[in-house]
Amino acid sequence: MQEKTVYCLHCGKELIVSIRAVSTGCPVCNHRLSVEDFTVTSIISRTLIETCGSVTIAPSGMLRARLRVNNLFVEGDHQGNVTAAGKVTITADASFAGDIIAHRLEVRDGALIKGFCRIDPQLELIPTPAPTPPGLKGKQRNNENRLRK
Amino acid sequence: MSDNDFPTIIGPDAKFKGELSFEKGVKILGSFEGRISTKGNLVVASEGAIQADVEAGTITVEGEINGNISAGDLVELKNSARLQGDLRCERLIVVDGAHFIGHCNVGSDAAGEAASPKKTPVQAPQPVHRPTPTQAPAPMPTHIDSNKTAD
Repeated sequence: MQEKTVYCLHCGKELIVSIRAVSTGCPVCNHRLSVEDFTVTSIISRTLIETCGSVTIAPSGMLRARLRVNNLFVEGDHQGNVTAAGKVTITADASFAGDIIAHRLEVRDGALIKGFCRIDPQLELIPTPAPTPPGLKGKQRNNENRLRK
Repeated sequence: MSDNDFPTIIGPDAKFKGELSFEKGVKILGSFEGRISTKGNLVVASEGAIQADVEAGTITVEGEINGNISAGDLVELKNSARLQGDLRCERLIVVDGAHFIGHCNVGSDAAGEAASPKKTPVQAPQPVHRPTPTQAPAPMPTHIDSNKTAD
């Protein structure tokens, strides 16, 4: 079975999932996570797309959405802010309007970009978790132990 | 680019403070503080660090820049580049690994704004001060004879 490594968007925990998995639950923070890879080939407008996988905007694709993803590959047109734990790639004929917060950025000659960029491999993208109520701590510890096993 | 393309090189042990203008190209290996304005090429080598607002034709960054940069043509951020400031250019190449914090405006529109000289705000014409007449003639209704004066 082919597997892939994804990182929880909420706590940063490394998770190994099947390449065919659509979603999973984080054993540490109990958040439900989408691990799908999306490819946009048409005009799509959404409020927020959140996935631990990758989003690809094909040359014919036009996406208007706020993105919280692992990797983003733009060949078409994108409008919206992006937070990427991995890499954002903007190809030569792509057009991007929005803010980029990512660990890595690659821009190829010819791309059009407008927005604020914060590109830093040491950037802490995961918000510091709020203090958990004492009742949940035991449950979280059990989940951690289960993961170690 | 060969070394012949850079008639001017600011060496690794040089510290320059002020305003720099040139025609062809400059390679900065040392540190620079101030302002760079040119139509030529600027290269900030990996050991170079500049703290300046830069306007140039082509800018290649391998080192560190703190300041706003605008290029008429191309800005290239290599994998060792560290740029903190706003960027405006017609073409941008960012190699994986570069650090960049700032606003980014890439495209022909941005290049046009970068190439055109900065417009000073046009001052509104000052209102001409005219002394107020001591006795302004009141508009007389047409049906009253204007020759008659009040008692």
